[in-house]
Amino acid sequence: MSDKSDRNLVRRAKAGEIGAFDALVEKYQHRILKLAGRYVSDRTARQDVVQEAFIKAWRNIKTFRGDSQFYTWLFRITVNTAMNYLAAARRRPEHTLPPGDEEDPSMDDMQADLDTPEGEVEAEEVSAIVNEVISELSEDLRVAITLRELEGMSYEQIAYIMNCPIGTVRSRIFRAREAIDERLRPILDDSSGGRG
Amino acid sequence: MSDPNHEWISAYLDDELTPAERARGGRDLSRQPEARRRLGRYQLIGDAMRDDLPDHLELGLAARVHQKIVQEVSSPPKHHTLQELWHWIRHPAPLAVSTGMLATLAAVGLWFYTQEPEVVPVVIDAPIDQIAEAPETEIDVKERQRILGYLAAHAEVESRVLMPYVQLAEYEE
Repeated sequence: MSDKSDRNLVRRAKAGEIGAFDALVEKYQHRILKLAGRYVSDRTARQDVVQEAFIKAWRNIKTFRGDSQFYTWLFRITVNTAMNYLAAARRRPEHTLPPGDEEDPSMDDMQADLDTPEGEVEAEEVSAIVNEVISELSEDLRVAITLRELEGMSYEQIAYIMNCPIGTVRSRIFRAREAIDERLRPILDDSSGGRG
Repeated sequence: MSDPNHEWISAYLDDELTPAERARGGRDLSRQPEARRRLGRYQLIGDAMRDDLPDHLELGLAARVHQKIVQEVSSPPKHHTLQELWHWIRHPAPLAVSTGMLATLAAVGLWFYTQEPEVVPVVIDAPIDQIAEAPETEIDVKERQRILGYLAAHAEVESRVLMPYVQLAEYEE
């Protein structure tokens, strides 16, 4: 976990820097979406839950004292939001209300007033590309990124194992990521309507 | 940052920067949308390697959250909107319950307010000669002296049989 880096971004977000909070959203959006999927099966509703969870986190970022990691705090907000959504869904009558007549407008407003192009990509496709590129990497790059991402080792530990300077580890991990990112970017950009 | 190849973003994600580098990195991430997206993709790579991704990636999510936050910052939500008022009017049950509770509270309060205090006679069981007299205070003594003085003066006037002003009138004649 990148706790110090998150704290740095949280501190900036507390000062009102939306960009810093955006960085946290970029970082955790997929994990939070997966978390919400454990509670809410409907995909549109799941998106709304995640979006509302992030909005709540932004509204309450000043109350985050840093006793826990930011992701833990965000995790809790997401679970609460998902539970609230499920409770509200149980209270709703079975017939569909016309737009604008919903019981709880907070969720429904989210989708209605935003016109960002929708884009989605299968996780399987992403995983396939990632694994394919990793298999094509040189051994130095493959070992470095694997020790980092799968074993969670620090650069110092990887440097010790690979018997090389820490700066070299840093460079190898970066180059491995760049090689994967180069293959991923076209897919992600196409799917998001060219936003990236 | 001056690093043209964005290696710092990779190290930032791994928490492997010095405090000064981290501070610069946070500033640059806050200001550069492309740096943020790259950070997100690097994170995505790790999530994919750990098989920690949702079935579908929703790629417009971060942009929608950003847009919503910008909207909120530029025009904070009002606490009492017309929509909320309309909601209360259209769904009278909560309003009726609240009104009923308030009316009940008001009625109970009014009843208590208009009730006269009940006078309860005090029954003393002990014989009168056994009831201890309260000790005389300094104020009691002064009050008694004042009353005795008044009675003495009054008795002096009475001793002349006639009232003072009648006496004066007779004297003038």
